[in-house]
Amino acid sequence: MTSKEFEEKYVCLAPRLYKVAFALLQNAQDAEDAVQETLVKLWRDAERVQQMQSPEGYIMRILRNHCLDLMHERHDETELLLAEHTVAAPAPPPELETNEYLERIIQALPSKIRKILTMRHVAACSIDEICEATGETPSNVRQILSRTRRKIASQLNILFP
Amino acid sequence: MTTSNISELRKKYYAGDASLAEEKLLQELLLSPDAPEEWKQEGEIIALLSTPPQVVPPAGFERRLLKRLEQEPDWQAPRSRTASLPLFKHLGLATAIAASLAGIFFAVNHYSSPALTVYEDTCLNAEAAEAEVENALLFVASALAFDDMNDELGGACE
Repeated sequence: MTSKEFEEKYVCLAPRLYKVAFALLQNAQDAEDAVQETLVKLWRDAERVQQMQSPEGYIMRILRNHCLDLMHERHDETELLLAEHTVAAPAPPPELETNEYLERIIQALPSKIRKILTMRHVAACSIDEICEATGETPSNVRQILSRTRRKIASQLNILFP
Repeated sequence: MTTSNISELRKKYYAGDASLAEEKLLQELLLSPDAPEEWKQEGEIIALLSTPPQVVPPAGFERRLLKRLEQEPDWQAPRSRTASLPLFKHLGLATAIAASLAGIFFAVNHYSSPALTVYEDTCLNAEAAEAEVENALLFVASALAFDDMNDELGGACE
């Protein structure tokens, strides 16, 4: 594969990769570095990637693993107040669309809980991967996901089981 | 997928026990046209949670990315076309195998029966063959200095 072909086929994915990296790392410079390293790795492995039926999953996995490594290195030691954490979002103003209100709810979450939710939903990380990146136990991660989903649902007037 | 299955998936989702595949399936089912109306909003919420934030890469993002890629040793020099084409790889391998087989075939035929190719047509009839065998034996006898060889062979060798 020539560099021109690589540019046309894969470099155009960079903005989308950046969004996922930013969601995970919450830092513009880290997200940019993660995208660069992902595409460099992809270039080095381009012959093999070219033969894959759907390389997008593979590309996303490279990016996700890179982000997880970074998160693991910069392990956030902030105590997670699992029992206390609250979703302090205001009541939904009538003019807000659901997605805007949801965005507010998510932004109001404590950073570590937001990170776990993003890792699970945006980057499709397994429980083990989340544990490795955050230092939480699997049962804690499950509990955080459960409580956060219930709180979001209740704020959006969704009846959950 | 029945309503009770969806309810079961929802329970697992809200308990934090659903696998990634189950979460994806639940989202698809909640958003399917057959799903009850009250579940649709829930499906949309799950879909929204999975949507990356609408952030725009900073200015110069792509330029810096390309600059980083240009640092790779083989970015400027085009890679070998043959290396990237599986057909050429397979043809090369097939040629190497065929050449090896031909070499083995030739060696076996050449070295396993050299006498046949040297001597098989030297005699035109039975007498000539007999004479040649006698000459060969005489040559061997003289080489090994068997003086009594002639007696044993009889008068034909005179």
